[in-house]
Amino acid sequence: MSPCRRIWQPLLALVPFLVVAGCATSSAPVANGGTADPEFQMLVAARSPVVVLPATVDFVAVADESPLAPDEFGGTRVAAHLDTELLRVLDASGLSCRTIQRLPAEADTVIADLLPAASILVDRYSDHEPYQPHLAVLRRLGNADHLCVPVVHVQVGAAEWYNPMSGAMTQSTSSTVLRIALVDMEDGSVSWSAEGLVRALPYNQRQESINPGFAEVVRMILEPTRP
Amino acid sequence: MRVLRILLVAVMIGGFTIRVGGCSSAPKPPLYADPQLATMSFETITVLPIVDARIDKSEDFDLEQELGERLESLLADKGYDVERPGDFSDRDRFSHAQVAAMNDAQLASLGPAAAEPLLVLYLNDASGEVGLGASYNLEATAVLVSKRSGEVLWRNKSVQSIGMGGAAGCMVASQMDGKASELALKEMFGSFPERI
Repeated sequence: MSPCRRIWQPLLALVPFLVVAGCATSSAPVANGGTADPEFQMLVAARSPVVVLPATVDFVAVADESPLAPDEFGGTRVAAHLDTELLRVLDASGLSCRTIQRLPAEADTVIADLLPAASILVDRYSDHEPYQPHLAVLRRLGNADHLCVPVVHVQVGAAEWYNPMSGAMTQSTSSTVLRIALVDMEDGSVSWSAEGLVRALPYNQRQESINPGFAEVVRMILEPTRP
Repeated sequence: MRVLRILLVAVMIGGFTIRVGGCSSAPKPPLYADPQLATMSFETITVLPIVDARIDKSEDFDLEQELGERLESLLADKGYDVERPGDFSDRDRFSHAQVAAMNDAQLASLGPAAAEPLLVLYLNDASGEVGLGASYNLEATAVLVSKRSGEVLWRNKSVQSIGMGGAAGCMVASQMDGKASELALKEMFGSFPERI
């Protein structure tokens, strides 16, 4: 056997293993709830007017939860993708949407107070009482019943890893959680909510594009019936 | 000789190494610790039922066996008596999702009236993958809260990522949840003060 063949043969034998091992570490996105839920369809049937908050996207280090700069991970692109898809689907569903740009200027301070609390508002079980005055003002100014709150929480961790020499392998420890809720601005309760998880970052820096896993989570929540 | 060579190749290709990613099992400094915690004296810690805070619950995970019992024995090793109420509260019934969303003050209202302090352990995520090898990720958070003051005394978190390639990995895949749980608890509670 030639020396060259002696080197390449075992390396070639490793290729299928590497391919399958790579596939094994990719986790499928998961979603609980979506726009097909009866709660959402009831609001659609009532043609309930909705004020739509811009997406809040935050990034933290998975190990110690220290905040990271969203711009370093494509945070603006992620928010833009979600905002676009959300408005498209809400409009198509027949809900009358009002973005914050279409609200009177006096709503600005209320929205500035509500945006940092988006992760609390989006949670059905969190205490919304402290935000009730803000919601009441927004309800009047927006002439709407519901507030749509989209929140993306990203934990940045180590990338998936495989060492063909030792055989050691791990999944990525990064994860992205997407939560969307429609909050009844009259009493602060959550009329509809959905959440999704993908164990990956939402934006691929190298390809400068939205990670297909995150796009899939958005689709699973917003268009759950589409094949 | 031939058997030995095959075994050697299997070891190289399959791998017999578990790589712990992100964090190791070495004690991790807490994310928060009350400056007075090391000098506080309490004999008993009340550990609430383990909170399943996962979004993806598709992974079959025995909260009590993998985390509850291990945590109990870990705290006992540190000299504490451990109390395990059967429910989150004596008065009201709360779901895991409700407890997962509670703020510190709300957490302090849980557990038996006389309990001090309360320890709440959350399983945030658990996912196993099996292909030509196996890997397992686990994320857990723990909070020690004072029922008297309603304040958090200690908080820590662990993210474990373990895996093993090849047939060897597939063979031990069913034990990875236990291994990841053990590593996570050791890492989180390694720096937890011993009973005075």
